Amino acid sequence: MSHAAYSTEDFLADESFQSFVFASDPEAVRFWQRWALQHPAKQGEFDEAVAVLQLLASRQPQPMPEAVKHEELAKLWKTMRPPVAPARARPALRTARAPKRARRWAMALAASAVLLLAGLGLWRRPAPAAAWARYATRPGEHRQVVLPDGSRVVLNASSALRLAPAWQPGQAREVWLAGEAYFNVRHTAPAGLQAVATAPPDVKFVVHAGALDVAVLGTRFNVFSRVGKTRVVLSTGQIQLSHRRAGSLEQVLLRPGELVEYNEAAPRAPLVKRTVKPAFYSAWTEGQLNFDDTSVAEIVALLEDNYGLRITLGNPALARQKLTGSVPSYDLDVLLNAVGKSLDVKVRRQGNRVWFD
Amino acid sequence: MTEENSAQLWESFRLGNAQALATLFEAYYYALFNYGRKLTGDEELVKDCIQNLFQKLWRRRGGVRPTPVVKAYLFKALRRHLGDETKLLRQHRHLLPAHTDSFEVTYSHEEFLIAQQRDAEQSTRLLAALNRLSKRQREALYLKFFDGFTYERIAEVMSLNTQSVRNLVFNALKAIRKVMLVSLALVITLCT
Repeated sequence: MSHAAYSTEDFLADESFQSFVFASDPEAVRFWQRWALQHPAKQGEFDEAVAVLQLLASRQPQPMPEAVKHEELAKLWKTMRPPVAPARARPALRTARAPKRARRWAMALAASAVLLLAGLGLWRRPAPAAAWARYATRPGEHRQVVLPDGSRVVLNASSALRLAPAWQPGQAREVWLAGEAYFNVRHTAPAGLQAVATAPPDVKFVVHAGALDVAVLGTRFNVFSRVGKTRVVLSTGQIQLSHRRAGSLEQVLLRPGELVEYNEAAPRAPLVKRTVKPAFYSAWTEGQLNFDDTSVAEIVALLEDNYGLRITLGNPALARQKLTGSVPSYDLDVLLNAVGKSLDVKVRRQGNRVWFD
Repeated sequence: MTEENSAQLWESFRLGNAQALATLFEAYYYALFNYGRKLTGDEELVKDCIQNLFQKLWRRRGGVRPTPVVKAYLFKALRRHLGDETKLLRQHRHLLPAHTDSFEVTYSHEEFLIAQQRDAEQSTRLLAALNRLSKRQREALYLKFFDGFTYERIAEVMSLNTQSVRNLVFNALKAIRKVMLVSLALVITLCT
């Protein structure tokens, strides 16, 4: 049937017309907008159909606690990866003071170490003229995002990733990060092209984080960018790291296993590379927090950033103590207890306030 | 999540990647939960059925079919699980007549945000119209407007053919339009 012969009901039941009203398909939107202008005689039926569909679409999302989903997901993980027998579990954490003392709680920890990664967002209708696509996580939440080119990003807690809603061929792939994320970027350049420094801009993938630009072709790396500090750690491949400054551009090339940290407090300091174990910096993607002679002050900052906590140390000298080891990160109470036990202090928690006494 | 993304995750899951299945679980959990709740009204039963469905998928991953439309596949599977479970419950408890095995979708006020001034009256009218539809019409409308499925996917979920779904939705919208005619005419004259 020709659209010009449509009754109100015909418009209502037409899937392309529905996509136009719900703005879920830009092409349908363009088509029906133009069609309406060309067929003024049909305006009555057209407008009525729009009004009926808008009524049906004016739906309120049903609130549901995030906790239900997480509980159910944890249950699913337990059946997919049954806990390993904890018979000879090594302590998950040890302090600098007493590195070898075995602790019973560690067994419980090892047993409950379950990988927890947040998934892609709920399905939703894409808005046709959205300025940015934005993915964000809440405190304590992880989320996996698949980008338009098939690259994968795991967002750590309290982080946000922003990008253009569509990536045009022939343009660099660009994202903006606040917080922490692990990137697994698809190589879209011809196979022979491996050197990022000499590659044309249209095959590069660029992460803008703080004052740094991280340009790659196809690699895996971790970027951390919070309150004045930006840290990049490369797992595989190559990174071309640029520091934007008024009047100058500083660039370094990273090889696998190298780390660069930039601190806004020292903006003139040159970018210095050091060699690290990259797995240590990406362990959070597997539901682990790793400490390697890490000071309690740093651990407190990390917990505050990732879980939205406010932590008070009863004894300020505690801040200088150091911890080594790994704990599961998905269960905050288990995590806090593990830290408390290895420091030999009592942990109290009320909502997002935590005290180490 | 796009159909293409979820189809990739599905393939990866079939090859034994637990993370891929967990990601699908995360992506579709609320949509499945809300659909199940619409069908049965029993939240605990819905939670259990979704959990069983995914655990079963994982156990039988070797024999699971490939599918290009994961969301519709999951909806259909949940629908079948819920049907089996409610049938069992009824047999055990003799609470309800055995032949009422089709689902009852009902709509409530909280689901609609109507921005117009006479919203209370309009939404009451709309709800009355929706709840007077046949069960199948209500379910098809839910899948169409709340979950954004195409006629083809709805047909798959409800095990009908596409033309029947089109007719269900067409007749449902026709009935709603008739009921809403008065108040809508008013809205349109006010707007133009």
